[in-house]
Amino acid sequence: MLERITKKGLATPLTYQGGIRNVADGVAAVQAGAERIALDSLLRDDPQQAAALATSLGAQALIAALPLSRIDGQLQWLDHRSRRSSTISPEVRAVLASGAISELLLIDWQHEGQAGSFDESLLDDTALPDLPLIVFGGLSEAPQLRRVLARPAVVAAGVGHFLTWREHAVQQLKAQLLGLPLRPPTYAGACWG
Amino acid sequence: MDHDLSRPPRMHCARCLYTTDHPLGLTLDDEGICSGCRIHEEKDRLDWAGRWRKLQDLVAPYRSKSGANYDCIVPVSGAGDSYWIVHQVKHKLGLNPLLVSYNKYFNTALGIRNLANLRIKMDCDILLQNVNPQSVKKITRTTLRELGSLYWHCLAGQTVFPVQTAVRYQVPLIIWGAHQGLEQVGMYSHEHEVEMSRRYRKDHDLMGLEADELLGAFDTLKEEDIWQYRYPDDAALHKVGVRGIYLGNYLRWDPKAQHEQMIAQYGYGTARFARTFDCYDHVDCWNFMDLHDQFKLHKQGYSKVTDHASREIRHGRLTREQGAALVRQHEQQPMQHTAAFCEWLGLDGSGLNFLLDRARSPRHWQSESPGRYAFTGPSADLPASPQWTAGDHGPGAVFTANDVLAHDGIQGYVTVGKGHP
Repeated sequence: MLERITKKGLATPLTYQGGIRNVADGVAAVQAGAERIALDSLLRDDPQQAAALATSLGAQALIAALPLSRIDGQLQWLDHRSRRSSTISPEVRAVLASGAISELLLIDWQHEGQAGSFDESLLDDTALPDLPLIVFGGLSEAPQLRRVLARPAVVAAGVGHFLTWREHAVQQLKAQLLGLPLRPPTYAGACWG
Repeated sequence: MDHDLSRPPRMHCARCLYTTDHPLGLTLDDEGICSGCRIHEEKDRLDWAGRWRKLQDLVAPYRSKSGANYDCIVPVSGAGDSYWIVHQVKHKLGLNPLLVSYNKYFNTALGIRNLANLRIKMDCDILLQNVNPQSVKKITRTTLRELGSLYWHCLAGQTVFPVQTAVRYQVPLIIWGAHQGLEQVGMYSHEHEVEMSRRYRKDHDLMGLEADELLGAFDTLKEEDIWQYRYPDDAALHKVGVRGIYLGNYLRWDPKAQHEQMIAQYGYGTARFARTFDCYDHVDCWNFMDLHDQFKLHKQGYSKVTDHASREIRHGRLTREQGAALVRQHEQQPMQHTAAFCEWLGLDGSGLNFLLDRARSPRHWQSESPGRYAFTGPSADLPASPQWTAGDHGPGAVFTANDVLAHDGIQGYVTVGKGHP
C-alpha cells in the first residue's frame, strides 16, 4: 500500500502507522516512501525496539501516536487490541524522555469524529510526556483549533473526516485561521467555462 | 475494475443484508450491526422539527432578493426522489427552484411522462442537457470496457450538469435528495450535514475516474467527447459560492412513504421490475434495473434488490428473513432489455456477454467451465427459507405499480419527448 501511494509522486510528506513490529519493519516503511513513522503498539510491546529505531532512522522520523483519555482523573493510554486503557508505564516514559522520539501525536480517541469536541483538559494533564505535541481527535472548528495551536507545547493539529463534509472545507478552515502561520487558502483554476 | 481477492473475508450485518464487501465501505460493531443500520437509527431519535428549522435558516440567505433569479437549483429526473424534493423545496420551503435534468438517453416513455408531469404540476422552469449522442456512445464504450459500467455517463452527467448550471446562472445553492453514502453505509451522520463535493463525486459516483481520465492513447475518445462532463474548477465554484446540500440531513428520509404520497398527490407513475420488488425507483430508465443491475451483480456480488430490501428492513417493514427471500426471488432474474441497448450502441450479443463475463469478480463468481460460473456472492451465504411463499411478503414488499415502463405503448429509448399529456 505504501509503495502504491508513494508511486503517485505526492509532494506531501507521508507519515505511516500500522504493523511496525521491529526495527526492520520501520526501516522497510521508510524505504517504501514514508518520511516518518508513528508508533503505538511497538512502544507498548517492546519499548527498547522503539528506541532502537531511532538509531537506524533518527528521532526526527519517529512519532509516538498515543490514543489518550482521562479516566478517574488519570491520563490513560488505550490499547486498541484489548480495548483497555492503562497509565503510561515508566519504561515507556523513559523512552519518550530519552530523545528517541521527536513528537507525540496525542489522539483524543473518545472524541474522534465528533465535531468541536477535542478535550483540551488532556493538554493540561501533568502526566503528559514532555514532547512537542501534535493534537488530533474531535478538532474541527476554527476557534478551538486557534486555542490549541496557541499553546506552546502544541506544534501541529490534525483534522480528518471533517474535511470531507463539504466542498472547500480546507480553504474555509484556513480562511477562518488567518493570522496563524498557515499557508493561505487557494482555489485552483480558472480553466473551466 | 476492482477484483481484489486479498480483502478480508466478508462479514454480514446481523440486521440488514449488507456485508463488509459493500463498495462504499461499511463497518460492523461489537453487536455485528453495520454502520448503515446504526446511522439509520438516528432517523428515530433526531429532532426532525428542529432540523427542518435549521434548513429553513440555511436556505434563507439564498432567496433571490430581486426575484429576478432562481433561489436554488434542483436536479431532477423522471424517477427517483425528484417529485418529493421539488415538493419540499417549492411548497414547504417556498423557494423558486430551477430544475435541471441530464438526458441519459436510456429513457422510458414513463420517465419522460413523469418528468413532464413534474414540470407541469410543480409549475417550475426546467433545463435539459442533451450531450451529443455520438459522444455519449463513445464514452459508454470506454466505460463498459474500463469500468464495466454503462452508467458512468449518466452518473457523471447528472452530478455535473447542476453544478455547471449553478456557476453559469450564478445560483449558488443546489438541493439534492438523500446522500447515498449516509443512507446505505452510514458514511456520515445526519448531524454532520455533509454537502456535495468534487471528491465524493469522483471517488464514488464516477468510480474513481474523472472525464479527463477516460482519455487514453489507445482509445477513440477525444476531449471533444468528454468536456461537457468536466466539473467546474475551484475558482469558479468559489466565486459563485456554490454549495450542494442534502434534504435527507434535515428531513426524515423514507423513499417508500414519500413516493406513495407523490403518487397520490401528483400522479407519479410507477412500474413493476423483474429484478426487484420496488416499483418506484428508476422507472425512467430501461437499463438501471436491467443491464446495469446485472453488471452490479457481477462486479459487487449483489444487486439493487439487496439495497431495497436492506432499506425496508431498516424501516421495520420487512424482517431480515423476508428481505433475504425477496433477494433470492429477484436477484438472478434474467435481463429483458439488452437487445435495445445493443442496438443503441451497435454491439452484438456475444460482445455484451464478453463484457458481462469480464466484469465478474472472482470474489463473487467461481468459474466452473468456459462461460459457466457459480455464484458465491453474499446472498449465497444466507440460509434458505424453504417455508417461504409469496404470501409471506411483509408490508415493506407492497409496492403499487400504476403504469408500465412502455407508457402509452411506446417501447424503446425515447431520446426526447414531450411526455404529457
